[in-house]
Amino acid sequence: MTAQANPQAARVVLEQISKRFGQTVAVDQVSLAIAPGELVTLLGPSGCGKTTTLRMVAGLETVGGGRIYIGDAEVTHLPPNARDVTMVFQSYALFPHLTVFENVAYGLRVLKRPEAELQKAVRDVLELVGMPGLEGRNPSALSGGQQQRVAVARALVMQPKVLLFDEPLSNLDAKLRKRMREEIRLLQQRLGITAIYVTHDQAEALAISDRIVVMDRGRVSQIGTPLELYKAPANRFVAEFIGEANFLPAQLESVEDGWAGIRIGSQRLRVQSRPLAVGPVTVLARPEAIRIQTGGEGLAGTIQKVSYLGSSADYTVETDLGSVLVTDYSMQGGVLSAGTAVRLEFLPHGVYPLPGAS
Amino acid sequence: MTVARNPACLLGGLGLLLTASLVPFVAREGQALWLRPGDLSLTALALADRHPGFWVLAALAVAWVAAGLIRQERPDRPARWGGTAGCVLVLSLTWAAGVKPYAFGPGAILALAICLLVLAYGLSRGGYIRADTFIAASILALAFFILLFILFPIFSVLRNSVMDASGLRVGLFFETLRRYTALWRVVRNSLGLALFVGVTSTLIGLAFALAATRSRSRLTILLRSFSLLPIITPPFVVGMAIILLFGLQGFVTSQLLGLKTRGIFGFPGLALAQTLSFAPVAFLVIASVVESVNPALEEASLTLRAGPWGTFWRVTLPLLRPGLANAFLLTIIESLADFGNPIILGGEFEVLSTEIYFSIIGRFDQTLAATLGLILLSFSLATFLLQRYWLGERSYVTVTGKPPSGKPMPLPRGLEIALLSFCAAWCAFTLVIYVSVVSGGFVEIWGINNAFTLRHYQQLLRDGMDALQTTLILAAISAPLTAVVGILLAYLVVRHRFPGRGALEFTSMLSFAVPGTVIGIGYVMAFNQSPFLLTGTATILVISFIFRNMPVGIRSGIAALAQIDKALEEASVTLRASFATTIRRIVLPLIRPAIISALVFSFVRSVTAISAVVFLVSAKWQLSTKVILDQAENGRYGLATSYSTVLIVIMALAIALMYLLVGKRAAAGGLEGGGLA
Repeated sequence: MTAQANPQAARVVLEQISKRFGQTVAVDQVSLAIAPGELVTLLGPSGCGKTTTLRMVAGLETVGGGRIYIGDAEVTHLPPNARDVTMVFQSYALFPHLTVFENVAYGLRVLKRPEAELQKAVRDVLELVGMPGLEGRNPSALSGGQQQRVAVARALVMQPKVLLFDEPLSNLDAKLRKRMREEIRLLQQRLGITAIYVTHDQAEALAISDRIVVMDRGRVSQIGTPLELYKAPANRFVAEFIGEANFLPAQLESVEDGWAGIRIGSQRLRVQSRPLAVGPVTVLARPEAIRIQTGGEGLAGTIQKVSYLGSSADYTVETDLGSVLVTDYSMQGGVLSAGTAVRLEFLPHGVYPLPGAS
Repeated sequence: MTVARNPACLLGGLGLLLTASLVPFVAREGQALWLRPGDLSLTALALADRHPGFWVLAALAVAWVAAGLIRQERPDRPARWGGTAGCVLVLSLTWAAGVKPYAFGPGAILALAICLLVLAYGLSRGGYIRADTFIAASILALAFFILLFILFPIFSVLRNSVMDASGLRVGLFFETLRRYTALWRVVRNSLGLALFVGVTSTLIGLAFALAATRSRSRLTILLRSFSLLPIITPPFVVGMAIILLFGLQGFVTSQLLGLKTRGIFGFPGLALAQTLSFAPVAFLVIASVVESVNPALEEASLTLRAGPWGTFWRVTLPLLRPGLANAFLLTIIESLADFGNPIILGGEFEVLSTEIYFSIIGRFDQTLAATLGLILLSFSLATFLLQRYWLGERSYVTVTGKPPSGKPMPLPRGLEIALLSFCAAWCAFTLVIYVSVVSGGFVEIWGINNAFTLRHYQQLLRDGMDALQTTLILAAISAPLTAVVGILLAYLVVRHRFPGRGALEFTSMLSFAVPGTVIGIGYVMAFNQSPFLLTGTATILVISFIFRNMPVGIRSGIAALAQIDKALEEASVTLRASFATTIRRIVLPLIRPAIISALVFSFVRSVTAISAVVFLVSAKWQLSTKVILDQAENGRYGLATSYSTVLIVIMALAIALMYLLVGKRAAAGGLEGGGLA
């Protein structure tokens, strides 16, 4: 959870905010309450309205309807420079005609902070993001990761009430991306700053967030912790977007306080569930929670396709219930080849009945 | 409790009260703006007896002061509603009170500015414009100026065509046309000339574009710079040179061939002069399209068994079609608007632009001038709309874009040789034109007494310096204003979303399509009477320079802003900088080359302008181009050419200075932007 309380950190409340561009509705009645010091991610495919929502919080887009509060004040119609919010941009947006130092100092110079205080603040924050000693460089002389750090430093030095991230890691290579997201998370927790983070990368969202808001076509699909979203997706869209998923027809046979008895093919199992009506349902089965074996009990099928991925093997298995994706991390039986007849056993921790009939 | 709850309304109200009681709202016609109240001018409060509307204005100011002290849920509302009411009120009061012998005074301007500012605050705080008061105020102010100085003059032309001393009659337009028997001949002449010049300029432009961008010869650099020469010359200098070469005493016709002919006057001379002048425009348009052709397409064609000729005919040329159409339409607009060449070379061959001039200057017939102006305007506008909506944004392909990777296909050998030799010949001809202009200033009487003399330059020093000084000063004043207006407009249109953005962009580009003569008579008709009395002043010349050359600034601004990541400005404003600070500290340093080229080109275009200002100059404020035109019209080519030479040298120096300041690449971009706008 959030680290030590930061008096500067503010809560952020979005009340049914909407935005349309011409005929298309980009954001449709999005409501969200973010606690002080919390990191909330807006996650969704491109065009789902997550960036537009973020830009409305920053004041970079006009708000079509609804209200936005930061701390106790309503900021719905305030220009961006009158809000206590800073942003890390996808392209970093480092000023090419200013040095690293001047980039970070920019906001403080606008506020006309005394020179000594400014010097110290800039050096401290560059130290904090692990970039001391490069103050005199031009941004173009920095690597992608370094530019990223300067962009974060420039946003942090203003001690904003809210820090916004607009897909900050999408221009980095895979390895660096992983490292930077850990650093950003550590920094955010250490400073106890409220943050809103936009990404389309579900792995990034799972790794970094206190809570995730999954958005689909301008609307909120589900809000929850990473674990809640993975374990108990509200609908098929969320289930598909977060992690890999199989959707299989099944029978719901009994429901009692949080648990359900279900039958997939001939296999019966008890899984955690919301209260649902007894009858046919669609269940979500995570590929890593399906055991694949050449004999024994379970759903019968034939391997159609094999992808060997090093630490795991992915199988596409053709069954009576349709095509099923299985990820095998153990590979105890070695890697099976296409055409092999197999049995699939569903493990209760990776199966979840979805609301709504199939 | 003394703290202002709504500072914008409080300040606005106080400012309005002060203005109304102290600053002259109207002033006597022809009197300077800085008159003390009571002299020959009246403050708003002094006028309130006659015009009760001023009490309403005072009430608004008091209401604002009151609103400024009360805590409000939505402080933007009184600002927005009051601002709107205030703007309407001030304008209508200016109209009502600014009747002869009074015209608008500084108080009216100040009151309007205050109301606009408060309205801007209301709009930005109300979330109608995603920005602060500075941006909202800029949008409102520019919209107001465009209404007043582009749309209002056009409207005045329209009004004059259907309204005379006996009142408004729609039939007047047709009556005037029926009375004007030369109509069909003039229209036919104008359109025929425009179409002919459109075709020849486009073909020559194509030849130059292909030779300059695709030839391997060293000659291409020469081609490029040489072909651009006409852009920096006053428009009628080419026409004058053609008279020197092919006229009655022409060097070619009379001295080489021994002919005594006036045959060059009329269509042949005009077609030649306009082709020389406008082929560079076509060249710039087509060259940018040739450069943007993806070489991979030609390479693909070559791998599919097509030879160089086949590829050229089947791939390259078809890809250039939008560019050719664009160049064709642009040169038509230029030819229709051209005034300088027809007036000295036209002879019996009347075209619309000169007929408009003669109906005002010769026949003193405003109705006829307005009617012909409308006809000319509708032709140019139709062409402009065709260019803009048929060809769309493709026509704005700017020179700053990076060429795609890959190697463009060289021209087929035969074609290359043909094109190069044609272009070289054309350049040589251009050179002869300029040599004849320069030498015309150094001979006694061209073609009759060719003895060397400095007489014309001595006379120039004696008589021409006043106009030259006026020209340079007014051009120097208008250049930074044009750059500010143009680049600010470009910035607002490119970077901000607000209601009416499309309309603002369209009308500002309209000033490109409206022929100078139409704007000229529009200004005469709109600003020679109360309340907006400006004719005969230097102000109206500066204003006409600004709004005629605004597209230069807009185009260089748009091109430069396209190169800058929008997120830079967004980063700046989220770091607490206001939009004004962002423009000053982030945008301006990054688009410096565009600013300098906009400055230089609006200066050059102001110095060489003739078509609009010919109606606006006065004995006190005389411009060089008008002096040259008067001399040339009277056959005094010696003085006219020496004066032209001086102007060309000044222009060349200005361009050279720009190259020095911003480097070759940016300067070339600016040059082409200047030529296109």
